[in-house]
Amino acid sequence: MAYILSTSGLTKQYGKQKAVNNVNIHIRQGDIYGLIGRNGAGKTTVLKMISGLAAPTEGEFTLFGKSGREAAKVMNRVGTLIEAPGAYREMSAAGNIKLKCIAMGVRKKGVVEELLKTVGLENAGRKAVKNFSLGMKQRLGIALALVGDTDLVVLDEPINGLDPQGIAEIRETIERLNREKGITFIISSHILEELSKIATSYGIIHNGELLQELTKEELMSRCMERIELVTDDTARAATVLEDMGITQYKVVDKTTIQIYERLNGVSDIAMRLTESGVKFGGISVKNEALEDYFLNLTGGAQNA
Amino acid sequence: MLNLIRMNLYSLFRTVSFWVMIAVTAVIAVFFVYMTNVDIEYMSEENSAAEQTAQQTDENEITVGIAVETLDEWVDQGIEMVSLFQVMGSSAIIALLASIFVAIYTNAEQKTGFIKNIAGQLPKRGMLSLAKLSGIAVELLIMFGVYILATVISGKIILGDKLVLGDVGDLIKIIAVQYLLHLAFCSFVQMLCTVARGAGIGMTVGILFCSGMTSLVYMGINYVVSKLGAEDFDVSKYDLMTYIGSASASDSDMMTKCIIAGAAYLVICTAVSMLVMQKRDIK
Repeated sequence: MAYILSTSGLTKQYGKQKAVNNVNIHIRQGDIYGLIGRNGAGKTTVLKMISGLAAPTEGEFTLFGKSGREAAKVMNRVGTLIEAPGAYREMSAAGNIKLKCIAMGVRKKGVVEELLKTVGLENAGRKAVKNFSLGMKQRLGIALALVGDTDLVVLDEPINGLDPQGIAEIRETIERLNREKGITFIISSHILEELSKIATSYGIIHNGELLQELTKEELMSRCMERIELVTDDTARAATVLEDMGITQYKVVDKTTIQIYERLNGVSDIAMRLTESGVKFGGISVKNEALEDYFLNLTGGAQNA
Repeated sequence: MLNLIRMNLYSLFRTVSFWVMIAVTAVIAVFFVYMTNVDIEYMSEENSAAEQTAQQTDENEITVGIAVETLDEWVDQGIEMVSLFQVMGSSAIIALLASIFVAIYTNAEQKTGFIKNIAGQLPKRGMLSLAKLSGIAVELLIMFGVYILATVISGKIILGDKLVLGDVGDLIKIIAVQYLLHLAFCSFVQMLCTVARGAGIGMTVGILFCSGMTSLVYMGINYVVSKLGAEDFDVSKYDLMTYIGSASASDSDMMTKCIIAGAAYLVICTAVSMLVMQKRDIK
């Protein structure tokens, strides 16, 4: 399969510390690739390397089919928003976009207005960036990343610090650009539930290493299915389950038991519980939340 | 490269510090002319004052701080533009203002994070430093222009007929050489800011150089080196500020040394800035 971006053994070392170790990422055209990892996992370092802002200590990446020095020639097709939107505070949004247009040699008439409209900042007028809300700054950052013939946009924690409305606006903007212009996105975040709303594939990074790379469908299927039983008497319910030969279960709290086997036997379990006089409030098949899956993969909540 | 130069010029004219520096340059030029007039009147009235001033001038004296000298001949022979400009050079006032501006301007893209929008997309990132130097060169050119214009206008108003154009050839020579030396000094400050990733060190060092504070350090260095056997060694000979202060249109040897020193500083400092920008990761 042809990838718009793939990395091979990408490694970044600071002193003796490997911030990123042997990362192999594969991103297809049109993907919204979610790079998931907790703070300090190495997400930003990976994104900096594929954005050309940091040189890998080892390894390389192939971008639009070009690698090594050749890749540098197609870097102008990569837009970046790393860490925080970089803009001159005294200038307006239009002024900042124009500045980048000049640097990139973009002379198309009306491009500044078009980009402002794309990210919903057409009414920002002459307002200085220093007076922008965080959401407006993030949208300006995305507009700056879109300057030029951008086919791949790298966004590092674009929804950090935003209120729910701001998050929804950014999400809507990304989805629209992906849908209408076919722009491929790499988005890093540690807010997994939000990322799961738009990402089409995922890379899970932990302690600088890419633990897993999977599509949205694969992730959903891997998120462990289980039967969730709600009862006031977990002790008796557990006894009934063991009498049925069920051993893969977990008493989560005083009222909840999770059963990881016989997922098609919900009615049988319910019947045996009733016959044994165990009252229960509900029993149903559920999927594991993305966050739980991530926590299990990266060593549990104590590491998150 | 041309696009980057255009970008730097676009941002230059939208930088508050640029306009502040231009305004301060004009004010300083007027103030300098006014104080020159006060000095001349004082020296004319007090005959002994000129002699006293002359006696106080010692070649080995170390000047610390910013000072503008009033030449004795200005009292009787009028003031030629070329000598006025030479005195401006020796005062290092334009160099001081320029170094402050350069530190702010060079660091602006790092400070705002704007550099992250463009640095990764350029095949040769080192060009960012060269393009930045072009902005500095334009800023310096405008500062020189404003300084000369403000001096001429205020000179005609305050000094009247005492201010004369003098030898135009010498004036052009001294302006060109001082421009080269000032640009070289700016590239030195730019290099410090690029290497240090901040405005603080570049600005501080620039101020220390312009105010002559380095003379005290040089004394120490010269003393240590002389103890090691090289008694004629004088580290200030390698200091750009020495040339800025000594450039004289009537001394062709010195002018040649100034051009060599300015060009050497400019090339070396710009090369280092470009290399650091090219090789180092963007934070």
